[in-house]
Amino acid sequence: MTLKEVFDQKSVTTVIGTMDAQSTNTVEKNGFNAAYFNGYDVVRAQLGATNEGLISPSELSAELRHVKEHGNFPVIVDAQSGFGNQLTTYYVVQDLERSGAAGIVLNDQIFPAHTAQNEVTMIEFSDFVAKLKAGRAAFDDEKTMLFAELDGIQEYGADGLRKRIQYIQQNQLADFVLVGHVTPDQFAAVADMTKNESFGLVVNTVRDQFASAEDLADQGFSALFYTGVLSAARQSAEEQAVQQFLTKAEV
Amino acid sequence: MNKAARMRKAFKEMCFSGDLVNMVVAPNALSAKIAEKTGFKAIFQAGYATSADRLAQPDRGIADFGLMSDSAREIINAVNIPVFIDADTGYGDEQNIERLVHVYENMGAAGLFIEDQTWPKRCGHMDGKTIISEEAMVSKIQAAVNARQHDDFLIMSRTDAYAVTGLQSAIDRSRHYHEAGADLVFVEAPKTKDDLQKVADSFPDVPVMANMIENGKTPLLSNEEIHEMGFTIAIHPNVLVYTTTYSTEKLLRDMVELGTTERQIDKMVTFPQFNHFIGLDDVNALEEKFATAPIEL
Repeated sequence: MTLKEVFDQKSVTTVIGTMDAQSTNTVEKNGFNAAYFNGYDVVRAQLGATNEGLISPSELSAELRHVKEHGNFPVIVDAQSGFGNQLTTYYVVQDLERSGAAGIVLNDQIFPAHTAQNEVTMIEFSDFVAKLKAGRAAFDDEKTMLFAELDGIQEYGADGLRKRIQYIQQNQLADFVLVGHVTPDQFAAVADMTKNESFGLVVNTVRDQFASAEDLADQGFSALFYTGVLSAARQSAEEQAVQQFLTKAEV
Repeated sequence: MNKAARMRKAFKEMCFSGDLVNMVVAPNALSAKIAEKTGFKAIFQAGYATSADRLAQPDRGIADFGLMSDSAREIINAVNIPVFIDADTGYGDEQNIERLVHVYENMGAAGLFIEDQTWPKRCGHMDGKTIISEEAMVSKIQAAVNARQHDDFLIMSRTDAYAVTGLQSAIDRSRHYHEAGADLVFVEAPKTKDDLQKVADSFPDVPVMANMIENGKTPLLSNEEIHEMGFTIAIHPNVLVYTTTYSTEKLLRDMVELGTTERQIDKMVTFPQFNHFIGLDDVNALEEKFATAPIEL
């Protein structure tokens, strides 16, 4: 199934964040139709850090190539803010698609993008539009999907968010719009926006505590992108395994 | 003392000896090895050559930290002389600089420079450069200095301000970068000998680097002239890229035209010469050393 078919198939598409071949295999084997290979989970697994902006795009694409050795399971890749301007966006997107990405997410943060809510700064919308155009132009395969992620509701407000969603969709700058970095106090306004606009929500389960997965599925979002689930689970499982080992063995 | 510590110590001694540290930029491990064998005492790894060698792309911020550090690791492992690193703009903010200093220090680099261009950057001798604020760059230098684990891992400041705000601004910025902790200073792309002299005169007690690019914005001077002006570090960043491109193109055109390498064969090293140079004898000896011997139990 192509990524586009995955998104056309369901009214709400849920994808889980992965960080390597093992976690992507886990997602595939458990019935999901796509994975979200994203900066936060990759940085946690590869660098032992929590700031997605620490990874460079060539490190991301190298890991993605390992993931794609295992087959054709659709993987959406987080190209963050394009790692620079529209020029770097073009080359980064090109490299990620060549490395096997079925979809690319670009966000409207200043480079380097950040995960922490208080470290996020936005670029001008015109610069984001230029990056989306550069990203689209870099695609070789017409089936590759482009996702525009709007992370700046704190800066441009609900009205600014709505206008951006409408502009991107009216001008067909992306195949899908995502909204990220939503704080609990903004959640109701964003959820309310789903009555008139079609977009998905990016949820970092370590950072965003505003709703459970079951609740979100009923809120009207057309997609849910979860990050942090598997990298946090892996860390927790590793800690548990080490503790169990310590109770059974002399070290 | 491990190799990394030896390289840092050797490079620091070179930079503060008063003699000229003469470095060529190596685009890859093979050219680094050739530089070492032909007598260079230190090597530079830089963006223009790495972008060309690894991506066949211009130095316009397309080569990122992952690619640059991979190439640096290969070069460092191929030689036993200090390797100094072009860390471009640091590829992000202070957190990225902290990471890259750790990575380069751990892989055995002798030090690195960070420049005050915006990202994606341009080769210092290209037009259209833009720069970040002096305060932002001071913060980056401080981040690099604070991140290093060894005081002899040298941090060089590079300013590209000459092309944007003029010579005096570039000198003033460099002075502030030095005060922020930069051990070495580099003012990129002065246009005249007088400009070069002013740069050298402005830092009588700090090792200052001159960048000698063929057909670039700075007049091409000999090492002796550079040293007499007061510079203590010279780099030749593009010479190997240009000569490799020239000779490769010439040879390949001949091959296409004639269908043979006969006319170029006197311009090559021979099969046995290259095998000896690349260390085949050493590799074979190493295998022999660990050859399986029969064991009777």
